[in-house]
Amino acid sequence: MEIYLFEIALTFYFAAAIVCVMEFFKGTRTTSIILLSLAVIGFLFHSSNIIARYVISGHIPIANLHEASSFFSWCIVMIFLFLEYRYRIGLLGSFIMPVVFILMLSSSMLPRKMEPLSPVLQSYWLGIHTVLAFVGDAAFAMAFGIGVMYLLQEHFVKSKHLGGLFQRLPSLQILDEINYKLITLGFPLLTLAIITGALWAESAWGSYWRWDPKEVWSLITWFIYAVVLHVRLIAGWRGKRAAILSILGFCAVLFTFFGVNFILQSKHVF
Amino acid sequence: MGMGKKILDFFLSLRTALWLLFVLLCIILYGSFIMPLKEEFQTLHVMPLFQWMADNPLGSVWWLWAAVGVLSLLTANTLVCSIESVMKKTGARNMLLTLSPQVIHIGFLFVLLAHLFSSYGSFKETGFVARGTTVPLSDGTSVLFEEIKADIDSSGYVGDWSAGISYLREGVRFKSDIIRPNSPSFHGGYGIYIKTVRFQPLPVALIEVSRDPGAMWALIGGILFLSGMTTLLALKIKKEQ
Repeated sequence: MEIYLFEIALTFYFAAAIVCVMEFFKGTRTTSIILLSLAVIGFLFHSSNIIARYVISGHIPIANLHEASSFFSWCIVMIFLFLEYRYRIGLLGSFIMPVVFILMLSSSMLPRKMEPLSPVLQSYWLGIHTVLAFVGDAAFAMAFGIGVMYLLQEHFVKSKHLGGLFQRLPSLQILDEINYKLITLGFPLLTLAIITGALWAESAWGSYWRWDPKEVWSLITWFIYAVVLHVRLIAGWRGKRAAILSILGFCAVLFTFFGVNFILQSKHVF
Repeated sequence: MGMGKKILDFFLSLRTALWLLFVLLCIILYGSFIMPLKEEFQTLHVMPLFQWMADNPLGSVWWLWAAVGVLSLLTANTLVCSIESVMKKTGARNMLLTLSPQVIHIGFLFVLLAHLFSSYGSFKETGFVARGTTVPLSDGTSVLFEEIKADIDSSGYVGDWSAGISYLREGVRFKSDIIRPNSPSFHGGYGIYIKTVRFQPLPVALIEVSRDPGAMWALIGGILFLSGMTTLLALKIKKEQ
């Protein structure tokens, strides 16, 4: 049952990704409504899949890379829908839903078997630490999307291409403001995720810091976003520089999430 | 301009902070790729960091020394900037808004201090113990491993494991405890952790006895960091509204 829910969600996200392309090149009010509807329906099936896995396994379904990628996508869609509700940027979906679909597609290709948790993972910290990390990362993913939109819009302004896409993208000021808000949401969550991870490591392994590649890369990501906030608040770095830094930061997030698992050796399950 | 003023200006500069952070990022980035490749890094967390760095060739650990150096400069930079900020804004209308970022900085410095304490004075000893084994602690207490258990289901999956321990002083039991994953036992600043169990050829548990003097400082630093950040965010949101 839960497998079908996942597949249905994936199908809706795929349809949303296709509509995104149409929306990007020739968006109308109808395509925006269809895109949003597909995303909402996909999100509902996706939520049901996560709940079903939770009920079956008895723990929060973030225990392997398949579940983690799926949960990460779910968090991104959740924040996307919130931003849609709050700011009504129809075109935002064109920058986010393809990322969601790629994440879900990669999740679908990973082993889905629900295995019992190892004794070390049977801790309330699993839910707290991972949920904080994923919601924080999802905020950074959205900041990435907004950053790309900012660079595109700035390009249109500078090259005086004030046509269709320029009209449909929000103003540079709004994009910059949303970017900043997303980073101020993501940074405390990432900090909390690192702190709760350290507390868990102390109770499980007797050491709050073990130089594990995942820990090191989380620290790298944390430093990047700390720089983003510092230069913004103290030196007034806004706009293009902030957008570029948020794109760079999300590259670090992606490497922490996927790269560390595939290239480096980590004690973390995902 | 005097030398002292030049040094002060250097540490007061945001440019200094950014360059230090950039260099630190490059060093850690390099380290993250080097650590899995070199065998000596497998023992990095089994002894205090400074002792481990002193015991290993400089060719492998130079980047860790460099990171310590950059972090020391960053600490001075953070301290000087925080003091200057508070002095500049003394008497400001919203002192909480002035102090919150500095609380965040103090939290960060506490975490660095925690790492310094852990790197210098931590203790770790790992080994397999069988039922009936006694492990001595430095305060004269002994830990007796009385029982080693595991929950194994029909498919052979080990769902949980634990060990029953007793603390003895001069051969007399004064405290008993059960250790399991995520649930260590603490005595006199030492933590007794169970990592795994084996039942062939006889029941043994992989035990780690550790002392981490920085843990409490790290916790305080984390709490300060988060309180500062929460206050700052709340004030900013309130200001916007």
